[in-house]
Amino acid sequence: MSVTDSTTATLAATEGPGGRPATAALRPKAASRPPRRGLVRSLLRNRKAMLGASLLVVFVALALLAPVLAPGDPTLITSGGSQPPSSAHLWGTTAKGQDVLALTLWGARSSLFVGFLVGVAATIVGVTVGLAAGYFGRLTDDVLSLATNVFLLMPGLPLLVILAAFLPPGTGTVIVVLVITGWAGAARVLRSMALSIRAKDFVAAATVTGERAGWIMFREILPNMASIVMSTFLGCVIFGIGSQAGLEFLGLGDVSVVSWGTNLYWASNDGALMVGAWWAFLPSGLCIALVAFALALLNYAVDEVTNPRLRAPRRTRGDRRSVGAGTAVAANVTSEETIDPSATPVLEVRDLTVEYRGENRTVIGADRISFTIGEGEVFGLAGESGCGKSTVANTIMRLLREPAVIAGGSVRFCGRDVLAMPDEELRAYRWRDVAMVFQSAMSSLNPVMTVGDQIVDIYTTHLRLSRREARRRAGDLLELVKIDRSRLRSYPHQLSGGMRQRVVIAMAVALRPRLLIMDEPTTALDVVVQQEIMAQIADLRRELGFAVLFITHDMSLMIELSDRMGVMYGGRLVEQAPAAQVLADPQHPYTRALMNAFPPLTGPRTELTGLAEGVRFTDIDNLVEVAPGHWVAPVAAGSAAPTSEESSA
Amino acid sequence: MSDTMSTQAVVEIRGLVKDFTVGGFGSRNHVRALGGVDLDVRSGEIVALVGESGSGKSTIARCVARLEHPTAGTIHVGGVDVLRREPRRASRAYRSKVQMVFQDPFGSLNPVHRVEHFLTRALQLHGKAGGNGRSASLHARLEELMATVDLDPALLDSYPHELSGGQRQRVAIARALAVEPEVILADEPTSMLDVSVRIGILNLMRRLRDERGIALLFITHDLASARYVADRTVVMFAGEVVESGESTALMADPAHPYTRLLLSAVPDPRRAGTFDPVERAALRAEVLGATSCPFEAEGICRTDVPVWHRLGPDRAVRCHVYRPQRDVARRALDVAAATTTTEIEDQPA
Repeated sequence: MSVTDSTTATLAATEGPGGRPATAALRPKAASRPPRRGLVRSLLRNRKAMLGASLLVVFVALALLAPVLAPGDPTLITSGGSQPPSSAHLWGTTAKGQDVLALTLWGARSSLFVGFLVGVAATIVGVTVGLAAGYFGRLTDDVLSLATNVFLLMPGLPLLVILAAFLPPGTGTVIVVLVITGWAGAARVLRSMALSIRAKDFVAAATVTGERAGWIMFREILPNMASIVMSTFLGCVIFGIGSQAGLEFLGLGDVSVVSWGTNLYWASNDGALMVGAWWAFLPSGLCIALVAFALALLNYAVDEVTNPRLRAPRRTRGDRRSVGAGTAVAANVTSEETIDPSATPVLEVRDLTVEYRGENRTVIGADRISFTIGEGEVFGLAGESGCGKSTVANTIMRLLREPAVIAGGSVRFCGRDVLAMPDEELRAYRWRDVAMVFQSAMSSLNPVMTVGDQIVDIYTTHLRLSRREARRRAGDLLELVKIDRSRLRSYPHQLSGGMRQRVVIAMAVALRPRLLIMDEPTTALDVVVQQEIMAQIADLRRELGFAVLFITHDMSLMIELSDRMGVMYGGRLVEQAPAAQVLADPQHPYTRALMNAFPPLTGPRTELTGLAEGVRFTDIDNLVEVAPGHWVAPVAAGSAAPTSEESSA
Repeated sequence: MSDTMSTQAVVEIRGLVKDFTVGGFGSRNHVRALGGVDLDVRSGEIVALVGESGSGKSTIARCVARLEHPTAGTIHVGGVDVLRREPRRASRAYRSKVQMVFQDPFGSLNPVHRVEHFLTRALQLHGKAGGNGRSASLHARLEELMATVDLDPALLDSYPHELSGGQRQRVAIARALAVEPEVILADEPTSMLDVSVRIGILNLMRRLRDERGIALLFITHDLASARYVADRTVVMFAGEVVESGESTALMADPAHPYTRLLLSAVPDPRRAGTFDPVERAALRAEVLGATSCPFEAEGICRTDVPVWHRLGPDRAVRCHVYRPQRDVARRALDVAAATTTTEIEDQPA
């Protein structure tokens, strides 16, 4: 029994010579690059990050080189006080005759040192407390969270002032005080992050492997929070530099130390503002602002890189125009046009090509897809994740968003060009002509509105019915899916998952569409409920007579429900035939692999071999008719082997 | 391993109860996820645990993996009462006997580590790295593990996001195998995978049983997969085991109304009789609805907990329908296998 199985691996490498970009992108090949190095690389490409980092580097370099660059000793008190910038003193002198440039450069040392040290220490304390609270939970979490919240709620500045006043003055004291007041914010953010990572399976898996708590916290959970830790650290540094300046400005630090804060303190003490000696305080103030700005830029860039949704989408206005021009591209009509079973199909998709244009590469989501759906017909589209079946459905509904671009082909609904519809027509087309039920549709109900109100809304906005009439129709609609009218007053959370899905289906057919698209409508439900839902749809179809485009990876379900079906792989159709024909005589090796993916419930137990890991079909040709109504993509001789042969167990 | 061990139970679960607290701080409301489950997994056998979502299947595995602490009941592994011996946290010795494979291969492998890391850690923690724990012997072990799960050793340097779902699940299985466990708890290992690669994982499980004598508790909601790999199938409903038996026999002739319902809901075009969803929906109503069960009218399920009835060797069901005196009711459900029904007290599943 094991012999057949172990051969699957050796058969795996049948990659064709010309790998299609679609399959290559959807199933990434092994090319080792750690995700964290990706973060650094993305940061290097980010303009905000580069600007922030260069500013910081300049400041750090200036601080390090202060002994070389500074014109003389900053603490040297001379007789020439309060001189404006001149050739002798480029940035002028303070009231005591100290050189401002020297003060600023030397001040950078203390300010940056304290800032980074506070950042490091507050982050370490925050990370430890946050991780421990998030990982251990229960009592540990209660105690640590309480402490965190107490420190967060205590007004920071008064605490700083009190602590600084009681502790002996000095740089060390400033750092201790700032860490005590600064760690709580970090701890709170990191705790909630740790809590969510704690719930992931890899933490449970590490526990089962036998890892200890410390290892799991710092080696499994912490690396996953790298970006948050980094931005927390940057935030703490900003806090450190700012608060140190504030404390010292108030005279609570060691005023004999040269830092930007003490510079400001002395400038204020000497009445620089009153005498208009702007050069005494401007450089230090500006430096604090610039460093904070640089850190904030870096912080923002980290957020942006780790959360792609914040990134501004690339403008591809020119591409969007091609939606309307789709018909022009569809010149290379294939031989599949003769598939039409009836004269006027409800839906006619022809040579539809959709591309996802990423920053670096273009991925083909759907590649020259053609099929038709007749009046009242159930057409199934089968395939696995990433094969493009949902892309096709979303195109039909005109729901594609950037970076998806329709690169060619046409979609016609009852003869009307869907891709060229203006917005107004599109509004009526969606829902009234074609309705769609998504996989996660159960959660698409508004949780704060009753089910009744949500259905009533459909009738009042689309059909302009009175509320009373709409309410009556809503009740009828619920009864159509075998839910009691009284449930109109229920909120979605009061219904079971199966019931919610039935409500969604009822809403989809509320306006009597001619086509219902169902994208994996039962994947989230278990078999018994799935079967109920399917019964419901069969009932509704009998009553209302709409056509169905049914999308799933479950071939058994599809064959039972569909009249005709297509099988998709890597954006291409590989087979199209009546469902009974697919069951009796599946032709393409991929279709056979899908069929054999579900072992039978009856008959002898035979060993099946699914599609071996890594088997790829590339350069899939146009479909060829092998029997009346049965279209199959020709298979190259080599790639037929690694699929589904049956052998007895 | 050897035939002498094949009848011995590796995992013996008795009266397992798990209550979950619901509501916020200080809440005393409980939801009972497991209501006294008995279950044996013998050496070198695959036991499938089937039932709808929320029936408590995963909770059993998580209790045995010591990720949850059961409210009551005992778990014996290799004859040792593990909850008594290690009440707070499982020892590493226990971990080296019991391993788990999770449902979501995208979630169960830490994205920041390479494949090599997962396997190396498992080997090192359990002293299976060979030699001084590094160098050539370790690498040989790694390659051997990869070969066992049909993966190219070159993938050792990959990160999880560079692998397909099937490959990831194979890595997760290799990690479990690295500690050379006696039993692997597989919690819906195929349900998140692309359908075309599921069979490969199921075949791998069969091979581990046949070649290494590893016992597997295979949790699934897919009856066809259960029938395909499992020696025995145990059906759960609402936190309790309602039927158990040899897989093909059980599926060919389900005894409990709930098993019948589950089976009837599985789409299978190859099965005799075509799809009539309306008819099946009626069956569901008949079985689960208040008027369906011949005893429900008397409310017997509410007052009397059904006991186990032995239907044959290795075959048991827990339903009042099988009470010997109620021949009429039995006929009502048209169960042919019930001819040798005897009532017994506490039949472990």
